[in-house]
Amino acid sequence: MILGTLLVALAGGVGAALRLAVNGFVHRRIRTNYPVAMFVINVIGAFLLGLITGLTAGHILPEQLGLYAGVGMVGGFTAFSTTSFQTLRLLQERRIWLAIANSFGMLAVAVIVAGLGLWLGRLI
Amino acid sequence: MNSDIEVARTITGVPVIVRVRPRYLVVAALGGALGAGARFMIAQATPIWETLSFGTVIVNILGPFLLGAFLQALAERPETRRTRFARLLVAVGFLGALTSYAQLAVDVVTVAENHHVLLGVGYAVGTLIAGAGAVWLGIMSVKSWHRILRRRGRAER
Repeated sequence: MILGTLLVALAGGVGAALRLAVNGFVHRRIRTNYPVAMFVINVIGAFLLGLITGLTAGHILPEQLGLYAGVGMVGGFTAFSTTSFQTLRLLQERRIWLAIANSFGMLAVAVIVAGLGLWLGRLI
Repeated sequence: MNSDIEVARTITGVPVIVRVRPRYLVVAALGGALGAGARFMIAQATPIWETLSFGTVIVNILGPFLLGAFLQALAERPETRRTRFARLLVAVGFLGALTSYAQLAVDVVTVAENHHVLLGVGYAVGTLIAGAGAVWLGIMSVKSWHRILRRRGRAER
């Protein structure tokens, strides 16, 4: 169990570093008031976790491996805290529509692609 | 604007990390490992209702609260190498990995599947509002703490 926790942590570290890298990469290219980078990260992550969860449910992917990849790496990659912070900042800036897009809009897209990933994972 | 990325001042006044150096990745990974490990241990220590882990709910409220408080505390100081290091370790790494947006999205799908679509929508909307509210509460807590400290400092003088 201790080894499992360590491996989840290790994968989470890789995911967080990856998030920093993608964030910087996108930020150098696109400059908007909407947090595009976190949108890309969270939506990709939602799809991947849906896929991983579907694959583990169908025993295509061993449960332990799904845990490291899903809970660890994808969990470390995506960030609800950062997105919540950005939503509040947008609200404070009175950019109400951007705030709505960053909260309800982003989660709606993430839920759809997570469902798609789950469906694909179970299908395989 | 973005807690995750160096250091260009954005319109919202929060430093943004644009050029990511290799050693930044190492610091973020260290914090991220601690955050993901903590999230996993919290999930194991809390009950699971049907398929929904209460651990996810806890970290998705605790994470935004701590991030709001931490970034407000940093905002009261000028950006230096030390604050950048702290930002990478705590805000990007630890608090980023402590929460999981992907898990939230997948949980909304499974709650909608296993119970009712409306319950899934309620869970989604509830978490979004709680998350933003928790950030606000975190910011306000540090602000009022600093106000108390300043008032005390003036009284002593």
